Amino acid sequence: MKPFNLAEARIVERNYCQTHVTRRLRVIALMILLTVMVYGASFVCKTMFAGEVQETKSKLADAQERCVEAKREMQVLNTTLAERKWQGQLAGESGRWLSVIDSVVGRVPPDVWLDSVKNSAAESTLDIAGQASSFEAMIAFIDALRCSEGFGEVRLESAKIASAVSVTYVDFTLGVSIKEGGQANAESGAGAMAAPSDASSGVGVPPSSPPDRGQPEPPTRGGVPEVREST
Amino acid sequence: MLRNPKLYSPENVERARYAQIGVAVLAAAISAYLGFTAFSGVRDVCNARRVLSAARMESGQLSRQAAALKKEEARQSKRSDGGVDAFALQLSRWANERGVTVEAITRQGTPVASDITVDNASLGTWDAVKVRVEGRGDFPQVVALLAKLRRPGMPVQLESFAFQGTDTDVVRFDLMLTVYDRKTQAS
Repeated sequence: MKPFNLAEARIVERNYCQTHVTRRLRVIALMILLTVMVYGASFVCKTMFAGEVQETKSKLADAQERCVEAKREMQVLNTTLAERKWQGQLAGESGRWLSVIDSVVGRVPPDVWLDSVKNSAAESTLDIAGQASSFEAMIAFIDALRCSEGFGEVRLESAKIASAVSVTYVDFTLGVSIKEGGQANAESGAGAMAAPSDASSGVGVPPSSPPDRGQPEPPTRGGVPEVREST
Repeated sequence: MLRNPKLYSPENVERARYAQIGVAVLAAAISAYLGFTAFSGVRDVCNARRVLSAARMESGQLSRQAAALKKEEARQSKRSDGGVDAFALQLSRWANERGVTVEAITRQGTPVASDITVDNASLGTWDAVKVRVEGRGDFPQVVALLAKLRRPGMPVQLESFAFQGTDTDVVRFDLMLTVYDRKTQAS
């Protein structure tokens, strides 16, 4: 039997423990080193990211400011454009009546003169007064107005024979109702209003120039038809 | 280096083992925390870049829309605040151009203030003033003058009209218009 050597056993045990303790301490040191490295890397990353985020946020603030500025500008421009649209709507309403005038003037036969034309905006009606060389001419004018899509009812309010200096003519008054929205696209005359010369040249007589009752228009004047002699 | 022989005892091996485990857990926790914060940083950067990109896109889009609106606005006539004075001045210019005589421009009644809204856009408060215009001139020229109201460049609406023939070629006209006047805070 081999004798037990206590001293040797102690030495072996100490060596074993030394190896293990050293190894574990090395592992601990390594882990601490790794943690420090991770911390260092994280710190560097965080610093970089913080700078990046700061820069990005600064750019974002600029972009957002530009957005707000553009939105404000757009709001102002939209308001301006809406204002123009409103002005256009008002002008359109004016244009509607101007088209009515044009449409009436465009339908005056050569042997009819208009004395007065006035509207009633509330009732959408026109009152027309004038003279015609004959009843036929007056009826032709009324028919022309009735044929127009823009006008509704055309009422003959009064018609009477008048005479001046051996010339007879028919004094008449008409009431014309305007169809809602009908004159906006009105027919022939809508565009002619813009061209001033059309208003008279198309009709052939100045529409609001009735024959002078004391001194009737000479029959030869600018398209004025011959006025019938009184019998 | 002198070493205490008791340092390398089995108890110390055991303690070193516990210390290693403790340090490992601590290191893992710290690393996880640092990793998480670093990941958060990356995520923040990505989010910020995405938001920046969206904001830039929106800004560009709005700028383009604003430029288009500006272009459209520039095509139209100069903005007008309306008003009877401005209208009277403009009308007299038009009348002079056409040789039409405007005899009177008269305010009728009291102005009516109203808030104008078009397409959900508030245009503010405007005074609506009735204005009567009387004058005379050749009918074609009067018609040409009135044709200006189709594109007046200011808020004006023709309400009613009356033409009366005279013994000459001249017609007398009597117009009723609504002229709008922007109400400023001072007024």
